[in-house]
Amino acid sequence: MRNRTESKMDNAVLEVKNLTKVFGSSPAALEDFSMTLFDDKPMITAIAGESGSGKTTLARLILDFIRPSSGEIFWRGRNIHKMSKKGLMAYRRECQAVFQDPYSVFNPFYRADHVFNMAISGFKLARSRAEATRMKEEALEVVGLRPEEILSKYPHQLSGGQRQRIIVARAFMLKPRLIVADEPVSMIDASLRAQILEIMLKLKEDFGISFLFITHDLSTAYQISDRIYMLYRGSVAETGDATGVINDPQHPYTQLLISSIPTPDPSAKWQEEVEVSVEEEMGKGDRVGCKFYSRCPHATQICNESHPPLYPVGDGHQASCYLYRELKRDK
Amino acid sequence: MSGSALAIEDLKVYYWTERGPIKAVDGVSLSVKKGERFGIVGESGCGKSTLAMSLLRLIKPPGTIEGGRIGLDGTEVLDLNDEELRAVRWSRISLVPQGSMNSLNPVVRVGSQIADAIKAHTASRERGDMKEQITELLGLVGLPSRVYRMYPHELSGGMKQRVCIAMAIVLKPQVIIADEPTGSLDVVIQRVVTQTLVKVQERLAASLMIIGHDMGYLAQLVDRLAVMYAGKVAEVGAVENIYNDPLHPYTQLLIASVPSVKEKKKLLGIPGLPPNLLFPPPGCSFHPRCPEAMEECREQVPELREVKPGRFVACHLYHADVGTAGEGGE
Repeated sequence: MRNRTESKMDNAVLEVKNLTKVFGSSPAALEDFSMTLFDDKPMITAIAGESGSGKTTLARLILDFIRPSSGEIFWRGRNIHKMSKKGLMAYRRECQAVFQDPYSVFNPFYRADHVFNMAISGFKLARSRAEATRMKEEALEVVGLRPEEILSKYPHQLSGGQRQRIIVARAFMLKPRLIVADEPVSMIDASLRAQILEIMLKLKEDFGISFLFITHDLSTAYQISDRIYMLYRGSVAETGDATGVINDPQHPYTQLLISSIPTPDPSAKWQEEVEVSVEEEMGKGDRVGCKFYSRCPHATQICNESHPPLYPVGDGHQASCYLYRELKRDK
Repeated sequence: MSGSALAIEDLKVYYWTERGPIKAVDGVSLSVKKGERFGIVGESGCGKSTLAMSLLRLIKPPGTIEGGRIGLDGTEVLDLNDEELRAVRWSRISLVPQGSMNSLNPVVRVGSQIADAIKAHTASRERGDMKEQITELLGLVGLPSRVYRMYPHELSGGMKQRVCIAMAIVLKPQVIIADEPTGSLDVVIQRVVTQTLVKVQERLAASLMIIGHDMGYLAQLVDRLAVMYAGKVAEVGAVENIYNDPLHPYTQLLIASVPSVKEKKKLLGIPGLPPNLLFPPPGCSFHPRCPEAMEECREQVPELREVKPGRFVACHLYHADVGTAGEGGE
């Protein structure tokens, strides 16, 4: 029994093994995803992809909102689906979440301090009222908000950026090891985004908190992430050091994606026209081979027949593409 | 102006509350040339969507158009009676509203919904073979004819957005307004939908006004750009000039806050928050956040003035020496 519930890696804080999730009869939302995060080396790991790539499914699996169809998730070596109630409670405290919409997570009838009070009483964090107040104030100061200005306000009196910082402060207060942040800045104006991203960097550097940064925006991923996983239709297309992958993408899908990011420079406009067939756009056509086959300019016979594994293309950099099969043999 | 398809002068749109008016659009003057792609950029709450809606007089109470003029190629939109307004809407100026792809009726086939748009704006004798027209429209926006018989839930986001573009051009208007047309789409699909929008605009030789918040996206496709802040226009100019040499401090900070995939740099935001439009600060509404604010900015509202040919800016930094700033043509 012991072997089945425990994983071998020593300093792994989160280990995700061959995770697959299928909803009903649709193609797998997430297929055979594996990843390890280490405790001694806090990192921001970006999970990047377009809608339907499976990035939110991964977040929901890790947060234990849904059960995988197959595969396992280990937290400090223990399978989260086989944990005791107490173990699971500790996991839920150490692995926190920040979601996309800073408007819908607040109950409009309560003041901002309600979100902190709920967490403090739920996890029995404070022994006295004074201690609770101190915790709230400390957390808000870390995200650059003044407690006396914020705690007694109602959600509608706060901006989206302030609300999101409150949610990050709430997560921080629980002293987590990992924060799963699902599109934390996509509903926030560009001018206020930087503050939230800076807070994520600060929590990583000063407090050793790792982030799983779920995003569709490669430019923010590039600016703050250490590692990146590029998902396409539930599978990893490419992974590696975030700077390396974005500066020098190897998978044809990643290349198309990066060339489509609009830059604030009128002299660097989109070049050639891009065609996406109607079938592709509707996400039809579950295929055995590479999921990018019908859109890929380099597609060959084998791409249609079997799904390419992740081939090494550089230092810690891998791409799921047969273009790099030969490279592996050479080494 | 002879070459302008749309001429907006001193437009004011207020939302009335118990505590006074929220001046969402506060004295905006802009003109869009024929065949031009014109962008309006600003953060949420700056009044850009209210401006778009007001051009078709779609503002509902407690919002009211308080004053100004909207000239549509010689027609004064604000002087029209209901009957005349109906004749202008959609046939001469149309709108792809924000989030319109999520407002398609889920239980009506796409073809019937487009047909409804045609029926609502034309007399029955003017209509030809509707099915043929609609299929042609679908082709124009890059959709296969079988979409005619499909329901919205069968389409992807990008396809739904193209259906909305098709609906906006059923009567071949000369001015198309698109409010965040690629709002929630992925970058590749955003690029495809934008290609469609530009193709349609060029085919109709129409003017296109695009409302957005993403400086990167607008740089890709517009000819001229207006930057809005707190209900007012901060800066207007040709897109190359705005990006290469932004004048207004707000424009400069807005461009700097777009993260790049080319170089890693310290992330820059804009300190502070946009003002509460119910109680805007005195003087320039950007002064509490402006790194270059001067005494004057706290007291006097800067006017939008032409400081170089074709470059308009509402900032005191440029107004003292208008005479010398006039050099350097376009």
